[in-house]
Amino acid sequence: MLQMSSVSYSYPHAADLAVRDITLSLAPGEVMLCTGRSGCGKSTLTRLVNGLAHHYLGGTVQGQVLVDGQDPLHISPAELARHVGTLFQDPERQFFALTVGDELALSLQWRGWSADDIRQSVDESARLLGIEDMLSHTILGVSEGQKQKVALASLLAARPKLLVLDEPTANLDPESTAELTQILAELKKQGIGMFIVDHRLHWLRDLADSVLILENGRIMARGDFSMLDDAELRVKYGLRAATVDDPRTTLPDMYTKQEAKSPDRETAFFSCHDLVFAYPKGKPVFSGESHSFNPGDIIALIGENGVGKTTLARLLTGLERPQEGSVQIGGNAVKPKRLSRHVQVVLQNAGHQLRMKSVMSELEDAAEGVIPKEDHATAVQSCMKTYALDQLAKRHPQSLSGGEKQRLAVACAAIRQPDMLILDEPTSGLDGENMQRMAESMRRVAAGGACLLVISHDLELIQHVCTGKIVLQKNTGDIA
Amino acid sequence: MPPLVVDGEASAYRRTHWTTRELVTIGVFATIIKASTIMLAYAGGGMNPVTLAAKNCLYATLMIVLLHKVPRTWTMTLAVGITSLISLLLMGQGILHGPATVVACLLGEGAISMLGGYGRTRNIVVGVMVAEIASKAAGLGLSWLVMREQPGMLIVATVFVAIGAIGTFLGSITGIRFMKELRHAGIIIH
Amino acid sequence: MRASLFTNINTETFVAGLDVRAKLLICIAGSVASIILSSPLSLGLILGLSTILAFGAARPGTIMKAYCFGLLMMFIAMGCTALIGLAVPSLMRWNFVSLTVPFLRMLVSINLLLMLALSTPVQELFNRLRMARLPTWLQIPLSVAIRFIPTFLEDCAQIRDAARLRPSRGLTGLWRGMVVPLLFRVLYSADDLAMAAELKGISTAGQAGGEALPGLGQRDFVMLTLTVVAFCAAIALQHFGPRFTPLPM
Repeated sequence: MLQMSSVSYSYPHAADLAVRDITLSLAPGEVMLCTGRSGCGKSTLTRLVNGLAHHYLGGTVQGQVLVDGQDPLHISPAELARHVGTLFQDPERQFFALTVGDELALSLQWRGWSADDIRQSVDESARLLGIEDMLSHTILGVSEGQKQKVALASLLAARPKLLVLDEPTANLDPESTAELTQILAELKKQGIGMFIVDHRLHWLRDLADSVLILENGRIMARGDFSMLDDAELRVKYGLRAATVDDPRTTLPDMYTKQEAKSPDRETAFFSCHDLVFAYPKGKPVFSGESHSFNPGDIIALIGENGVGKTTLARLLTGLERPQEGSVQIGGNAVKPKRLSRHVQVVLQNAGHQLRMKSVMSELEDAAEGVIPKEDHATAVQSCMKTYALDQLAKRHPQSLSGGEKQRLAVACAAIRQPDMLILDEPTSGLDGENMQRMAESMRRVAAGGACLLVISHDLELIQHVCTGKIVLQKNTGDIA
Repeated sequence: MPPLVVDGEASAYRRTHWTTRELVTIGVFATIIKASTIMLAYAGGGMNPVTLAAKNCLYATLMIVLLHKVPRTWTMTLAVGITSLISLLLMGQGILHGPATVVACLLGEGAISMLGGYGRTRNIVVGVMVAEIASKAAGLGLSWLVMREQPGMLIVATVFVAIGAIGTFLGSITGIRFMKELRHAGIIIH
Repeated sequence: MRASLFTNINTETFVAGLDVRAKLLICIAGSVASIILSSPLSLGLILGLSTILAFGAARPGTIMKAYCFGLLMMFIAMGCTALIGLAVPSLMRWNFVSLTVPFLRMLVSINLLLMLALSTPVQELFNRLRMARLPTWLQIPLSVAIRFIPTFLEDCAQIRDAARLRPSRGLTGLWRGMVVPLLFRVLYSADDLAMAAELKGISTAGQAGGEALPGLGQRDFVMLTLTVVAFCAAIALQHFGPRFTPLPM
């Protein structure tokens, strides 16, 4: 199904090899997990398998790759896509159509299939993934888990024999991850081979037949999943945990509903009171919610997709105005437009928040209006050292890796000395080492006197760093 | 796209004038050019000179970035054609102005070719400015057709076009500066 | 994403039932007519017919708002012209024809714009483009452009929120806070989409298949015929109808 023989590859304009001397083989129905630190060469391997490295990126290849007997060198990625389907971390960024049905049919149309064959194949793959009722739905309005299913169905419609999955669970909640695991298990039984690249390991315990650990482009370890139970090995290669307990059941609730109704307004550090909110022409999201946060709290905000986690975050930051209720700091109500002085947010896509030409100037810009000008230099230097950004001072923020961008975004938020810091999926796509660094950064901010609210599906992060939880319920938007 | 080299030999994969990647980039930039200029116009009102200048400034910047990202003949013409088609198909605008701007782009392409091609920033900037000036002249011509019974209104239109031209000039400066930043960030190599 | 960029679309109107090609042809005919015609009567005929189409596509409230906006722009332009006319009197013509004809042309444009924009779901447009089997160098960027609009709007919203949380000052601040992150985001998105396009088989070496473009329907032919008749009638009215001497106001 997949064979690589002594394959090495370097990107154009790069001096070093991205992967070196890779030899592996994957049989039909086999699932291979490839993991390692960020930058170890995992994504490069996926691009060698699906042909992007050969034709899209250019570069220098040594050795041979065979995908279902085909050499990617001699056929285009479009042709190769008949044999291998690639599922990316963020499927929305790869959708081309406007409805689910059209997305499933798109690649078949471009391959010249007849209308009848397309219809049949689309129906089959939609049924397999349980999305047959969604074919006329707008593709961008569905949940993350459903988007992943749509992306997978569009690959399966072309009937590939091999799937390459690049961090498929990065944006999924634990329930959707479990669903995806079942679907992949079913595909495995049907004889489809799978090459999965992921930092999150726990969900693959019962699925992966073999594991590769990469470092600096080389295969450093090879074996079955039980190899990952070795804690020393995981630390050595910067990996995440092989088993994760669900902390959503063990973390303490921050308060009971009765307590929420009457927090001590005099001493509450940061609180929201009787929030009522509904989007225009939408159902009510919150109908009278209250909560108090203390300095040093790191709270996990938990709930199903669409329950209102992001909405609550937007209300606390002043980006949305509640119809009723208030946000208070030290017992004093703060107007929504003034909340940005007290609340900072680290978005899932940190790139949206980075706007200057260098890391240092980014921190200087963040400190503007908060720290006196004469203290800027000291504060910025200290922040760079604390968040291990001093080696990157002159780098352009947009040229940093994902983990580095997240760290910089947290540093920019922290230098503004907020009372509350909200983090939206801060560890999506981060390896074990970077996840630990992020957890450390969060603890540091909390130790500095802020309270943190974390919106995350990353059970490992929640387990490591959160001190409590708030659970939002679906129907009423009440806080549990 | 640099060629693939396998064991010392270049890849046999055939290239067309634009690769898929370049066509996708052109499509994405067409969207951002159209949508951002509409949003600016909407934010400032139809006759706000500041947003008018800003709109043209942004347009020029984006076009300069695009032509560096896809440095091929006809890229500017195709991008402008796509933006005109989007206007037409989604908003019914530019039935007559669209073709005129495409023709104006031919002049811009000609300027770039005469100066030596897409390899230099200077050539690209000149090409964008020529295309913009030609496009504005065409726009004034169409304005005359619409308002020929009231020639004084053409003066008003000319004033606004001049404000737009100032914006385009500023956009060429911001475009050049932004290109330097993109090279620093490693987004654009050449 | 909404099925259309405009929330007011009513897909069950008479105009919405027309094929987008027919609507485009009607728009082109109406625009050309409004340019070449200069008689208030003939333009009035075109205006009347285009108003019927506009009301057939959009709610009266939306149309009134568009008219008000257009009128405001027109009055501002006229006001500026009047000021110029104080200095150069020959540039400002105060007569019935000179004041009404540009105004009528503007209203015709608004009607045609509303008719097309508010009666054509983006999804239908997308499908028609695919079925039209355009050359790949046109099909790919055009499809991408339409598809990318909602992603771009979402990115704008997120970047705007981020900018609100870390306010910046002046034009430079606005540029760095809004434009720079957006540009970088767009460049990354373009790369992601391009990779996906290759892997989906969307390439310059191929051609979108599937269903072929259906022919125009009976309703479309009727409307196009009426358009031609109206066009001819307007031209006839221009040449043979009563002449308007430029009456002073």
